[in-house]
Amino acid sequence: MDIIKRNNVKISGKGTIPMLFAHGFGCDQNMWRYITPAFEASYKLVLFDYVGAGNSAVSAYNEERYANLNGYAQDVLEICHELRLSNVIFVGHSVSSMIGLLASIKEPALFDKLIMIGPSPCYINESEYNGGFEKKDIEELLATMDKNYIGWANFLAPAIMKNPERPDLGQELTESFCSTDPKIARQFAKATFFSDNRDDLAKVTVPSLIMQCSDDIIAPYEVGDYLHANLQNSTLKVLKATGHCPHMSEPEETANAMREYLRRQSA
Amino acid sequence: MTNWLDVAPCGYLSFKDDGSIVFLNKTLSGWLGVTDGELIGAKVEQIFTVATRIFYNTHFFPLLKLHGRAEEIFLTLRTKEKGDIPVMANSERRVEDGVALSHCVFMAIFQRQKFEEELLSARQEAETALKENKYLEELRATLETRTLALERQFQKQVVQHWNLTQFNKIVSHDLQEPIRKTLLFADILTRDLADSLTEKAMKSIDKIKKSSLRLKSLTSGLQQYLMVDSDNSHTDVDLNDVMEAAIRKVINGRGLKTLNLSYKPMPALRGYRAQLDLLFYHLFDNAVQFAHPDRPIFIDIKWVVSDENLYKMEKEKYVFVEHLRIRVSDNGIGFENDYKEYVTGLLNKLSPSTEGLGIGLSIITKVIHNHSGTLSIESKKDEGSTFTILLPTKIYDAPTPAGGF
Repeated sequence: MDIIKRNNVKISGKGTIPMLFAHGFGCDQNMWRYITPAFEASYKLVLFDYVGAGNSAVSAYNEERYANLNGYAQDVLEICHELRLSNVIFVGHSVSSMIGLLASIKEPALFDKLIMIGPSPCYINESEYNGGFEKKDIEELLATMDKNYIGWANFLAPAIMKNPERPDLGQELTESFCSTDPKIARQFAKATFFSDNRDDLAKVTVPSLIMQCSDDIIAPYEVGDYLHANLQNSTLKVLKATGHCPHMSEPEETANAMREYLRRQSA
Repeated sequence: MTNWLDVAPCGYLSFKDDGSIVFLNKTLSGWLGVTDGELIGAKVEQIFTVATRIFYNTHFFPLLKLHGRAEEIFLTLRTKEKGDIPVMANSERRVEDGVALSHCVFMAIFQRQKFEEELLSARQEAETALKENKYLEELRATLETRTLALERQFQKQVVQHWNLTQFNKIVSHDLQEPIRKTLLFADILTRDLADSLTEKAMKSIDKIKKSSLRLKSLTSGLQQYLMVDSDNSHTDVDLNDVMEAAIRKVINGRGLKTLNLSYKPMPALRGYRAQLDLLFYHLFDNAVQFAHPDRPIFIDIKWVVSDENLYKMEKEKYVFVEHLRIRVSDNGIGFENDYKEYVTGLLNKLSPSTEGLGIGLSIITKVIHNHSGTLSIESKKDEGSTFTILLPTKIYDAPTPAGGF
């Protein structure tokens, strides 16, 4: 299948250096829209949806492939190959940070830098390691998702019916938002929250920026510190932005921190 | 005057984009067991269970931010005394005087929650049964097709094996004798009749000799290629031993003083030792053979262990298992990337003037395939070549009874 269609790849921007934006669990490429304008003038922006999210081709979904973050990393690598990208600045939110990291271990030559927003190599507490969650928390999350998807139409209804505040967004866009198939969303949640990539950190050679939010329950401070200590060539930036989605809640601070990092790295 | 919102029979909450609470009504503080004003300025996540906090961050907040509203969302509140209150939330995000506020109404749904849980578990059971049924049916259909395909494959293989045995015999015996004789008689001719032959005749005899020698080395190359499969019992292989043996063999075979390589100690691998010996020998020997005349050959070996799909041919199957990813780069003459398919073909050579047989890369490819691995080649003319080899760290003959690997 055509990879551009499969992953709903969208290219924009006036520059030549590619910036590849990978959305996190629970959303799609629309989540980037508050920070992409900051990079449009100087970069080639590549946005996409993972298979099963947004406007991707759901028919290409494969349960075995996407039960594992390596399957998602394959999506990233295939997009890079298809577009013949190299020296990619990979920007990943949440679980996509680890997906990008896995892709960079497999083909380090493709990547120039990894920018990770709210990353965590392992969400579940294990003896000395404090990931922030117990296994039962994740099981409860799956139940919460199930309950919200039971009236799946309800969950999506406001998005499809109208979008009075932002009429500019258009019908197609609003329909796509979060329109992940419930089963796919559940599997993505499992692949995400039960993943453990701590052993992979030492294999990374590409320089990285760890963007740590304040009061992020999904990726707490300790996790950011753990990543910074175990990733060579990493820079830790603590944002004032709170929560897990600084690119949506504080886009300006987020974009500035990214620009600052890119400027320092190239200086 | 009564503040109706405060005493309304539903929870009411307003918070900013950064999650800080600006208002909650008395009903909600009553539910949560907090005093008036206790939660003002606190993070909204505090009043949720851990699972709802994740859901808030991954779904609820993005939905509010991007769409301005989220309706009929199921959440679980956490009281100060660590009790759970299941609620249905309707919410809207509005920007007033430049400040964005999200307003939520919560309805407690203790009874409905039980009903929904029953509904959900019934649906899940039905879906599981349906899915298993569908899965089994698909499995049966696939099994039938596969068994038939396997049977045909078997029949073909019997014929192919017989062909191969015959071919092997021809290459290693039948062809050798006429070649030997041609060479012998050409030698006799030049030795005994050297004086009576014209210069032209001598040149022709010389050509016969050269061609026969070439034929001899081609058959020996074919024999080597066919021999690769004779090593078919796998063991735990120390790749460091393999590398050292390969380096020694190249140094001796090519009459070199040293071979410049860089690599860090390699992990062990389950594989066919004699085949892996051939793999590394030919990798290094190829690099030496195609060294750039302007610089001494240097081979850089990098490796990393990563999880890759075990299935290389079957497109819809995925089982991610540990693979060793080895990248062997040299600074040799390289070649145009367009030829990277061609060079792995048996006896294929890019330049007729080079002495090799065009057998090295075919053996490399064969060994990698025998290990269920893959090879990719990137090359730049005058700069060098990079061979990326992916090998599973174990040999997988069959899945475990549990269905996994």
